[in-house]
Amino acid sequence: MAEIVLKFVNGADALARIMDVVRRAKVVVMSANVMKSSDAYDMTMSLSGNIEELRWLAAKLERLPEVMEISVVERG
Amino acid sequence: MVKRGIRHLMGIPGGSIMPLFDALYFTNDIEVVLFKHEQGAVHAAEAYGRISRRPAVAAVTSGPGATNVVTGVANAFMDSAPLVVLTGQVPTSMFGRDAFQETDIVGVVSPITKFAYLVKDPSELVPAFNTAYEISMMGRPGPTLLDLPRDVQLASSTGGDGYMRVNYEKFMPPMPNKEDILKAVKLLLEAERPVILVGGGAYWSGATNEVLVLAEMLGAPIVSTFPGKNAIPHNHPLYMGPSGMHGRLEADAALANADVILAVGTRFSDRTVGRFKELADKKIIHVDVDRSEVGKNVKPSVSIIADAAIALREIISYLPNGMRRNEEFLAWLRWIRARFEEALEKWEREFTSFAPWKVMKMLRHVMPLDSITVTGVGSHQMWAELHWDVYVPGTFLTSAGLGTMGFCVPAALGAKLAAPDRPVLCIDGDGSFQMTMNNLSLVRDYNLPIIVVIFDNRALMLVKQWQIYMYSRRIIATEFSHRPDFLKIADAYEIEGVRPSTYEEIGKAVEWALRNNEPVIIDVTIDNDKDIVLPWVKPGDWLTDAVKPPGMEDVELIWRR
Repeated sequence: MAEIVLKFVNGADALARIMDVVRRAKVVVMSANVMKSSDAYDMTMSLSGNIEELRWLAAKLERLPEVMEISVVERG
Repeated sequence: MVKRGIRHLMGIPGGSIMPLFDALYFTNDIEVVLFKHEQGAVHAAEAYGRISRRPAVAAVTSGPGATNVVTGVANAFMDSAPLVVLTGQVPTSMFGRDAFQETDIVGVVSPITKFAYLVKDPSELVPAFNTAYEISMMGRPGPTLLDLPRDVQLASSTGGDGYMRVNYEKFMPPMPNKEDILKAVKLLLEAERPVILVGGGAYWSGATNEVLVLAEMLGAPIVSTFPGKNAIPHNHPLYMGPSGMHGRLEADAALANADVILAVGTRFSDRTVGRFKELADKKIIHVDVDRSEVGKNVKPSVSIIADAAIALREIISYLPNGMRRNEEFLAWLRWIRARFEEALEKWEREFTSFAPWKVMKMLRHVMPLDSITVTGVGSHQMWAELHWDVYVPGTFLTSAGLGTMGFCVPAALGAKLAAPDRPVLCIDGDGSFQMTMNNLSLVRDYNLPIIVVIFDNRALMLVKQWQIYMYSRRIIATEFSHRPDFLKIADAYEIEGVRPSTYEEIGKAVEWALRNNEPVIIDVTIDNDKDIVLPWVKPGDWLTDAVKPPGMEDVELIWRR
């Protein structure tokens, strides 16, 4: 299990691009929460899957220019 | 676009992109190059970008115009090529109403672009273009797309000359970590059989010289991926060729028997390594500008996230001079190469018409060293992978990752636009050629005298090869009729057409075209009963399991000393 926490810009189009990357990873999305803040969107995804795959997914998401910040919080 | 020095725009106009084309009516700085199909325009723009090392721009209308670019965009994405695509879109007031020629193209291309953006506000237009252009080239190149609603195109732009707010920093390659460099050096110093695997990233980094210096210091064979062919001069004595599905046997043997692999700018595609399991036993040093490539297919012992040339220079600086070389291993690889060439000589006698590799050798003999070579996709492409020698890095274009049939003709046109003073050769197959041959009218329309050689086996030969070997000869939907006559096609486009009977006639036709700066289409008949591309590592097999050409049955690819 891990949480991927990220901040992104460009609204729903960027969210769709993020989900397009998530769709191709061998993980299960347990929950996803998106909140608009003043100048960006904050997103937290809880994911289950192999930790290597989760790290790879985070590295893939990091490539999107719309993703301003990203971190992985590993749980167990 | 004018400010950025863009001189050509490739595309096709239509209702939703008319304001942009109308604006181009008022400038002499950008020539609009009208293609016959949007896919062709995008392949041409990709090739233009690969040759000029900066993004070219393609522009098309909404709906079918936009969906027709999808293959081209995916091709550029898979081969990490710079490209900017502008698509027209219905007015913002019509969004989501299924208006005429409305397609959510940003949604469609989202997974196959480095950046895609729907411009809803005219003030964002110039910043969005600046962003799309720069991001396309920063770090690992890739395609970007901007979707431009008609009302946004018609409005006055008030956004100034800035950039959009996105994260650019991530595309700046970090400097290599010293600890990782030292770990890599240690592995290389301890290696018995080090091998350098070069991918397309080495070309974009400009790391050719560093690869050669390092290989010479280590006495290490150089193996490339298919796109990596473009980065290494093939006459270098340590270059073994590309490895993988249709790689050179000496390259397969080098990679399969290496104890340490220094991989430079490659994603370890299954086409290059066959399968991943055996690589787990090797020490792998992976140098890549893209962090997400590291560990994707193969877990490295050391990863170096950096620009390839800089990382290799660092490694070189820590290596002592006069290192021990494994001459025995190199001699064994060269013996495999000699056996392969010997086998080809004998195999050639079985071909009633032309042997594909001998056609390659004739073409290479007559084409200037710095000419640009483009391939289509199919068996001819695999023969080119095996037997086309690249002497000047950056002169070989192919559709490697996506394997897009139809790439050759439009990409050759784009390459010729980018480099009008250099000869451009399109090595195509009859199946691949027929997918985009409609763009040939540009040869005369824009004075783009390309040389097209069709390996004409009247089949989707590579698929047929799989049917023969993997589907118990159940041949279905892979054989073409004799139609069309390619010489009549050539005539229709006012291009000289030749159907040669000898290798010498092929050479003479090319020399005539080069001498007169004229285009030519050379239709080379290949016997499709004989046109089986070997060596061949079947899908899922390991490199040492390669099916070898006749006469090499006794040659093992396993190092036993």
